[in-house]
Amino acid sequence: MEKIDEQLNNLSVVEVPTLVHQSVMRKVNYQKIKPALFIAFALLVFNFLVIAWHINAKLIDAEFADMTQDFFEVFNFNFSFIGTVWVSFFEIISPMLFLSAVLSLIGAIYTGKKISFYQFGKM
Amino acid sequence: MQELEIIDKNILIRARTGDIHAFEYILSFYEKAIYNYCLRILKNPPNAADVTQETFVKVYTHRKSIDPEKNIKTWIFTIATNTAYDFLRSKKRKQEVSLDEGSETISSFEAYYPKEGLVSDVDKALRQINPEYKKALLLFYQQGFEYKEIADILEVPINTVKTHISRGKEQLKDKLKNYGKN
Repeated sequence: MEKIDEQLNNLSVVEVPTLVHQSVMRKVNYQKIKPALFIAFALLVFNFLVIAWHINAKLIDAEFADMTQDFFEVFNFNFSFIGTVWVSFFEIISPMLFLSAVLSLIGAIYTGKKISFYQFGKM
Repeated sequence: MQELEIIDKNILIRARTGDIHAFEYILSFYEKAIYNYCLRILKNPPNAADVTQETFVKVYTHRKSIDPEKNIKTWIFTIATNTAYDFLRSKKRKQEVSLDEGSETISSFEAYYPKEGLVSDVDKALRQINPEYKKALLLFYQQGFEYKEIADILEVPINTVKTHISRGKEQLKDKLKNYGKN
């Protein structure tokens, strides 16, 4: 029995795969930044809603329904009208608002990339 | 394997408040012990690695439960034990592996050792004894816990721990006889 005690005390020990440590730290870091990601997403959604509301209000003022109808009528006959529409677009939607939407998109892509960085691969 | 060192209270307090460096220190301190414990329970290196990861993620998630006045090792091993057995139960449900000894994958465990002969007869015999006895033996001999601590980890009375260790050793002795080494 003493021999068993001795053998049990000297059980072989293996090293931990290095990926275990890295993977745990990645998961823990992700948990730590999760609230920040949540806030970033909430801001993006809020931004999107504000822009949507703003565009909607502007377009209603500009009698959007009639304009759309005109647009499609002309578009069917003349592709060159696209240029006119492009100009009209910036008359209806301010360049600042458009820039804000582009920045939101860039922010969304950046955040998405950050999230994919923290995705956990199987060891 | 027996580690008598105790983590400094300040580190535990910092880990409790979410300090990532303090947590990493705890991880570095115990990951080897937890991995080896899980490896002998699960008998499969990739599964042991998964359970070790899950254990430490749970430690971080429940960091508010860290009591700087108590031995964190006991708490971490309690989480590891529960996580390992939850893992085995879920695997059993999926019918991929079984909790009994019959389905053990000896090859995967032995394949982890680079040199032949590093899996001792005790290791082989350990895989054949009652899992409850094995847990108590591993915690007592490999991890150096006292009876009281093992009782806390396994959530059984101290006398049951003593019985499990004693019966485990008897079973081990019988198994070792079969190898003609004892």
